[in-house]
Amino acid sequence: MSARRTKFYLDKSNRKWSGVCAGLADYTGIDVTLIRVGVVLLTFMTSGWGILAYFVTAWLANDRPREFDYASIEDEKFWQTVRARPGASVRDVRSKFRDIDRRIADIETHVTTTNSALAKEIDALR
Amino acid sequence: MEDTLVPIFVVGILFLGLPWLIFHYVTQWKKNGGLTVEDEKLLDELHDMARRLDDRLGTLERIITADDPNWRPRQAADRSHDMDWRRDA
Repeated sequence: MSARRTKFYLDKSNRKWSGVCAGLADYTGIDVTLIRVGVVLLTFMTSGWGILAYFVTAWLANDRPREFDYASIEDEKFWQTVRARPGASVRDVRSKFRDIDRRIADIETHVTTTNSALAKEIDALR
Repeated sequence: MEDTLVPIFVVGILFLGLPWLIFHYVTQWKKNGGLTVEDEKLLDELHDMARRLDDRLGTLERIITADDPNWRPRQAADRSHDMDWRRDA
């Protein structure tokens, strides 16, 4: 099976220890500092189980493949939406295509009308 | 009588009812929310294509604007709405 973008990966490029928190932040889009504080608090509340969970996750999860490095922040946001609400991201892409269609229609109208205006002027000169 | 019935009910709820409930929702969530690998690739491709088309259109619009600054047939309300979604996208 090929690699998927909607899986949880360790994020080694932003890591403190193993990249679990950075991976969670990348997965959910929540700020990484908040997640780290949350994990530490959880560790205190559960009297040490958080650390065990951390290492189990670090051991089980894979590193993020290089080809999934985001080209831009917009890209990163897009994939976070895909993970949380796939339907919303599909609708988002559709709205982008609709916008493109509208802009092309604008350009088409402009190009065709200016051509006919030019033709009228040439006719008037004859 | 009651001493034997209560533990049976409790064990039944804890070890049968609760896992069933959890798995029921897990399967439902997977069925509704998940994308297949093909869907994901398709979505990736479409998103990429939309961005490239957007860039190209931007270039075209700039060229036309340089040629004729107020060429857009319906600028005011329509455009400002478009800018809204592009900011939060």
